[in-house]
Amino acid sequence: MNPIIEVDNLYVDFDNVTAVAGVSFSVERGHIFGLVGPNGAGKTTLLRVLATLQEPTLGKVSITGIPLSDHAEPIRRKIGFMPDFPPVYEELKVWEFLDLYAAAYDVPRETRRARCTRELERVSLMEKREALVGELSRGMKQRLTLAKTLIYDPPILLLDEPASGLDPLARKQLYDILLDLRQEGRTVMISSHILSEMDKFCTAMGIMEKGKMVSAGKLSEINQEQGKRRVRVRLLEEDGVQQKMHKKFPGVKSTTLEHDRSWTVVLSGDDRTLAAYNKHLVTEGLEVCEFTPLKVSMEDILIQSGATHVS
Amino acid sequence: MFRELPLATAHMRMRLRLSRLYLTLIGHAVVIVALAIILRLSGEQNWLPSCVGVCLLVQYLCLAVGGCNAIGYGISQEIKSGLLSFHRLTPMSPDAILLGYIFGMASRSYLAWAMWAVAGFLFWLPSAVSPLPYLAISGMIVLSAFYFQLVTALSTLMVPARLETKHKATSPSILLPICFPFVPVDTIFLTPIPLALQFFTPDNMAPDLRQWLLQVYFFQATWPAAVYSLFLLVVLGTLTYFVARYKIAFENRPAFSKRHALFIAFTLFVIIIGRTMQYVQRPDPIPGLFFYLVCGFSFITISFIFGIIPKRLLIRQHCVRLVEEKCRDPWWHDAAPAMQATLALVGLCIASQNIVAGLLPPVMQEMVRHSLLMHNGLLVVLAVCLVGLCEGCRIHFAKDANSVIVVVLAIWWLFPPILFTMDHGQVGHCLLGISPLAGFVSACIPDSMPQLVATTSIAVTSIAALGALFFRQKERHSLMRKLRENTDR
Ligand SMILES: Nc1ncnc2c1ncn2[C@@H]1O[C@H](COP(=O)(O)OP(=O)(O)OP(=O)(O)O)[C@@H](O)[C@H]1O
Ligand SMILES: [Mg+2]
Repeated sequence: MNPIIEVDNLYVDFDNVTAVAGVSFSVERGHIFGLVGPNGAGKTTLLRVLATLQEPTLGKVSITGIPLSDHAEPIRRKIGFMPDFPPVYEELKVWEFLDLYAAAYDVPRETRRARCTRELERVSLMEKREALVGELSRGMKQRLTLAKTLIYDPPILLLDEPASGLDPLARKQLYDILLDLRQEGRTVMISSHILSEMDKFCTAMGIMEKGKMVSAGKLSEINQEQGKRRVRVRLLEEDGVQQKMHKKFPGVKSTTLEHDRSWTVVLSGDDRTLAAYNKHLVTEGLEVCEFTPLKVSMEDILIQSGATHVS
Repeated sequence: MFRELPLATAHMRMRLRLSRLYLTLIGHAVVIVALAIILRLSGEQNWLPSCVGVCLLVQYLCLAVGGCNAIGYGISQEIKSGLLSFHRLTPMSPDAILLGYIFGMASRSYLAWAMWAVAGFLFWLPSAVSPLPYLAISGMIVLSAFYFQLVTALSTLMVPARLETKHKATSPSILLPICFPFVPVDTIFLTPIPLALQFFTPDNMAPDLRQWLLQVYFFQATWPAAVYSLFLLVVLGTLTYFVARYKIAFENRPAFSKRHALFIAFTLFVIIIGRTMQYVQRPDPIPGLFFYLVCGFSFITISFIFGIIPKRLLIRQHCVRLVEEKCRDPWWHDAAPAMQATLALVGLCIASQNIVAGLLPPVMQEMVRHSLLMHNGLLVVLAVCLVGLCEGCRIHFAKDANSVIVVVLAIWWLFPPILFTMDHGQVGHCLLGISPLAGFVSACIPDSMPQLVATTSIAVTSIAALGALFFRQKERHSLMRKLRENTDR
């Protein structure tokens, strides 16, 4: 499949900082790409470049195969960008705000009303239709901006921390919306801090750290690249087992005793290694009553890759 | 051109909500009625014409001062909040954004204007004079207010938003429409403003309303002047419109596009010729002219200077590219039409100056010899500076090829002082006035030192170019060093 967003050796400089330093990655059509990284990693800057709001110092960016530097106009129509602090007109009514952007994006006058209704229903703001934007809560404004971003059906969505300020229910709703959008064949790039929830719907991920892309690709690829598996092991006896668990199996990176008296074992390797480790425990004479491979979460990847990067 | 202006609709929806508006409407209506009653009771014979006069004044205040304030404040808010960037992302054309702002943000002012315009018309009707002059003046007020609104929009787009929003409710841009009516009466025909404001005393209106207004407004009804005034308004307005439109379309582009630069060059040429013609016809030089020159044109000068100095980002892009791609900084830069144009121009200046001097009678030649030498020297220095400046910002000029801007700038700044050294008479004097720098200096220095003025003009230009060059180059070298150190490590 050909990538819909391609970034090659991208640099973005501000007066005293290099916010993005040599980032290369690509996003394929129909994926939900999660962009994670600590504060100040350069996620917002990267998204702003893709949204054509920030001029890069160096590097090539192409969206749907069109180089960004040459033809911003056709690209802008394909992109829906939602910034981290979306500006709104406080004194407009909710439907008027949507109507403004529908008109700005050349949605025909006749279909505008239906579009507004459709998007307001999508983000569950229908009952606030006649309210002033300034009277909405922060989460509601966030949802309104999402509706504004969707109103002209852009095939690519760039969402900068859309879940901040949303309650758990609204977050769940947002993720459902994103999955729906994916079903419709759109590509979504989303930056977020709520990692544990992101791996429920992201299909690809990029990890940023100090302006660099530490790793990027499909989730399964990243897992493999990181090559770390975690297993929860519960044994009948607890004393003196660590030696047996740890020492004699070369793939084991660490063993930790958790509060519930189970062990979390970190292994490097694939499924075959897991099976071998299971066998190893049994042959060591340990009585295993639980052996559960843990799903590698984004959080682990982030922490691990961050750690590798620092070291 | 536009099927609709979504931004205008949105801003009108915000500003013209009936729940907030009725106070404004009632307020204006009460003031109008009160005005009529007071003037009637004051025993004034011509109370109706006085009412018309006040209505015209308030129309100007509503549109030019109120409207400009709303636009200046509104646009700076939009820049600060990021809404303008949002609008830039939409397929809305820059025209739609600019006009949307102007009509939308000033919509309340337009409403107030309409009320006063209707009131003025009603006061006019009993005079049994054809309403044509009234309509013409109202139209002129709208036109000039629109011009000032465009200027406000442009200056707000150019000045960083933080300067504008310090004073919460007002924008410094309103100073412009307030100041212009105080331009000296003699030169007022040169400015695009409603002249009627100068004469707002009811006495003036008494003899014959129609004649008075024509006299005041159209400069003793000499039609060439009136037409020129209108022409100036339209041309400067169009110019401002295009530049503002460009600023909306390309936030980071420092200079105007070649097309716009050509347009500006042409406009300046026409204005200069027209104004010179006007000026030459008058018997003696008017110091007030310089005030106008400095005010009106310094604005354009500033845009030009901002235009030719490259933005920091461009220098940075250039340096990073050099370091990343491991290129050497080219010692000479092959794609710089601006530089070539500048060289050609300065060469032309020197040549023409010397040729003209050679044609003078021997006595005169002796007189100008001294200054000629000095000018030649300074022009060479200036040529070196300008070439250096072009070199320093090669990335910029190579990309946009804004040679025309440099040409315009050089013609505008340099030729008049040079010609002035040739001719100390009236033509020379008004040519001197065209150069903003010389105009400014000569307004301060007694008339006996024209040579000094012209020389100072060129010298100051050289120093300014040299300064700009020096700072940009310094910045570029330190950046280059930093980048190289980083990659070496
Ligand atoms: N307009 C700006 N001017 C100067 N520096 C900036 C600007 N915007 C961002 N930066 C700098 O660029 C770096 C990256 O910032 P960015 O906002 O992209 O981080 P982020 O990953 O989005 O962080 P967060 O998770 O907090 O949103 C930071 O060091 C920041 O200080
Ligand atoms: Mg951010």
